[in-house]
Amino acid sequence: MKYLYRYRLLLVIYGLALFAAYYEYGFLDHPAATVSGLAQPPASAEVLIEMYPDSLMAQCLRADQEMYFKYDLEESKRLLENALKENRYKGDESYYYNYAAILTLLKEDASKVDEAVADWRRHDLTPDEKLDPRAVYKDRELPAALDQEIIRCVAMTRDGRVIVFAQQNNLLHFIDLTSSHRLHYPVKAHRTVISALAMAANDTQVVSASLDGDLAVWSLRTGERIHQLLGHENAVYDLAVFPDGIRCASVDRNSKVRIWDLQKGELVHELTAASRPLSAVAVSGDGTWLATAGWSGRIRVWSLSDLSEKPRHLDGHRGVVNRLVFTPDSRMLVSCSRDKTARVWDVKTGKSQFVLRGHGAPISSLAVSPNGKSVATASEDRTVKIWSIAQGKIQHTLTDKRDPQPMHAVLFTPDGQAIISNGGVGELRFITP
Amino acid sequence: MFQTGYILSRRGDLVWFIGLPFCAVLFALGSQKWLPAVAISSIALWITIPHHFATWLRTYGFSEDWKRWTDRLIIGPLIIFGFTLFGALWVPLTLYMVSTLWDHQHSIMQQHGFGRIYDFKAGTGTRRTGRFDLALHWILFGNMLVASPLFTSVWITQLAQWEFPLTAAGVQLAHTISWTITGLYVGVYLCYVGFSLLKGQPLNPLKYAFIGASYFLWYYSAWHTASVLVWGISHRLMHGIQYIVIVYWYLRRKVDQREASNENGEVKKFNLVRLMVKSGNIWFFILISFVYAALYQLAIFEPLEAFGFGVVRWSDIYRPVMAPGLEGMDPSLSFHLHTELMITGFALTHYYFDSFIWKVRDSQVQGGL
Repeated sequence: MKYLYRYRLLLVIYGLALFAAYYEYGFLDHPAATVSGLAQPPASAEVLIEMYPDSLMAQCLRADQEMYFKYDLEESKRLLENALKENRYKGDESYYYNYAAILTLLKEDASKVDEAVADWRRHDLTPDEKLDPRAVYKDRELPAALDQEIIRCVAMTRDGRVIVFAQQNNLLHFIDLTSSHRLHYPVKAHRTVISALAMAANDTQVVSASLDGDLAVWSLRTGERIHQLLGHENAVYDLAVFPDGIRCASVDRNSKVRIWDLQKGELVHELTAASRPLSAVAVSGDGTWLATAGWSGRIRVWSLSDLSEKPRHLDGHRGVVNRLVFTPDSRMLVSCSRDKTARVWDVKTGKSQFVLRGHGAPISSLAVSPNGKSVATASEDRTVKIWSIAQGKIQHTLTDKRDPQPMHAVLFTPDGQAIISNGGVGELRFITP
Repeated sequence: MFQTGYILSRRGDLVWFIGLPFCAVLFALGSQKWLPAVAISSIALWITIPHHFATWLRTYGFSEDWKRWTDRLIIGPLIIFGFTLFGALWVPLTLYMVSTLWDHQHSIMQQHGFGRIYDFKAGTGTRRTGRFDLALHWILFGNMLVASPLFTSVWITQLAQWEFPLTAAGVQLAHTISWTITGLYVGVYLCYVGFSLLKGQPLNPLKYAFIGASYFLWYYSAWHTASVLVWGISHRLMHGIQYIVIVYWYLRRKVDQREASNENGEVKKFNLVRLMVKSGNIWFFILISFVYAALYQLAIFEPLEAFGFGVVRWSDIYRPVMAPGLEGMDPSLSFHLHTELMITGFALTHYYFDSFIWKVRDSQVQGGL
């Protein structure tokens, strides 16, 4: 007892430490979010910015957000310049690194970049020379390309018999799911990464879009290219096929929306929809609406009956919108973003019905179930979540416990019973919720 | 009404206990303006490490204390280093949390201890005053941790990492509660002081000047600069220098007392502590402290930049020393573990020793004050 009393302070600290250690052990079990090569703002960023909006710390956090969520390098640079000028902010040396990285990405004068790098080295106690932004970010562009071989996009015929998917190495694969055999040899479909796929012409064709700025129409029967659609002057990020199956809309980095006739392989309409790159497009099932969204986070909904009319704006996302999908009844629009949220919108009123929060990292893709009751979202936090559209609540969280990987594609099977998602490198997995 | 008592002397107290916090803030603001962030590591190296050294001198170098607490001075570090090793390997967040919280508790207790010494020296205050003072320190320091922009950003970031649901409204509510508790307690404390005066108990004004100066440093740097650099540098300067000063004078008085009692007695053996603290040898004390700090910095393989406040780029002059290329060893991991053990283990041991070697009510401690 005498010794217990003598060491009471250590015993109390040990007790508290054991309790904390138990909690930490459970906490470390959670899947970690990925970063995709960018400085990820801390989870506390939003609260801190709201609490201290005028502080230098808030400016640095907002710079992180602009870069990570919107790829807005200019705004990020402006914020960091203001916070770091005359070496005012010394809270975190990583912002000096970010600033140097941004200047490199923006291809600013070499002397200016050198000066920023010198500033970073001066403030960082242990600068890792291997991370020199002049080497790491040389010839890089945002968004950073994902790792090789990752499956980026998937399309499936309505009867669920054929699936087409594209890997990061530009190969297009055609798989007969009834026999699990390849329909055709994989084809090198584009010069660079394939960004989107969609079935067309009553599921006899598939359309692909690429970061090389081209679209192509492929025959499912022969695996051969039918048309190459040229016209975009910059990377195409998404495409959507109209309900008639013979037209499609595509959006690009230059903020252009182009509508194509897939049978003739011709451009039929062109719109300039925004001042910042466009990354998502969708067409409603009844052929009434065309929705586009991009790096600014703003969604625009156009009436297809008169594209000269001003579009309706849906504002809410604070980061790049990665995907847009209409529900089968065309009443709702679902969007997902790098800001880690998905939103359900009422198309007629333009109001956000639900904000689907729960992912710990950007949401890459989403799918709406054939009956229109559920939404599946795939995230870089290595999970797929199923949400109820009517209630805006999570129904299931799916994680591959064996080998969790960031998710970049998701699709419902036609019967709505299973989810297809990319798992590890080069793998597609069927998951039954 | 007032009864003055000094810890060192009129001039000594003015410099080291009342004036130092203001100078520390000025130095920190200057560092913020003109020095890179490395400056905080330099202060850790040249002030914090020597203040740990002062603890080792006080405990292991001074035979009286060594004999008195032999078991704690042996077993304590063994337990603490074992815990640190376990934490660094398996639960690093827990280790970080324990060392941070203990560090704050240690800072509170040091300023409280000086307050108690002021009361002891002036013959003011009662046992109840000690309890009121202690509660005042906990509440004022706690309010700074909860409500200041600097520390709010720290705990918000930590809680968000642990996936704790946070909102700005919730944080503001926490601030309001903290300020309310602080305001109420300060009211209670002032009433207590008023009643004490009415009952004829005198006050030592220096104690309150000391407490005011300490909280000026903490509150000013946590609210008006919101900079880790300013808070860290000013706090480390105040905490470290005041500690070194009290240890130096404590040991010097003890050595002087012992020598006076042995004046015509035993042959004096060589004793490093006596050599370092005896009158006229203060530069030797400072030199040995700096040598210890430099050796410690080299032993933990921390960057050399800290030696020169980031003004001299040592890494441009000297290439880093290569890690020994032992087969099957991951140098980065083992070096990291070694550094973590040294830094956290030594700090925790210092906190632990201080929890029992500075009891002002202890008559043997009073002898050195």
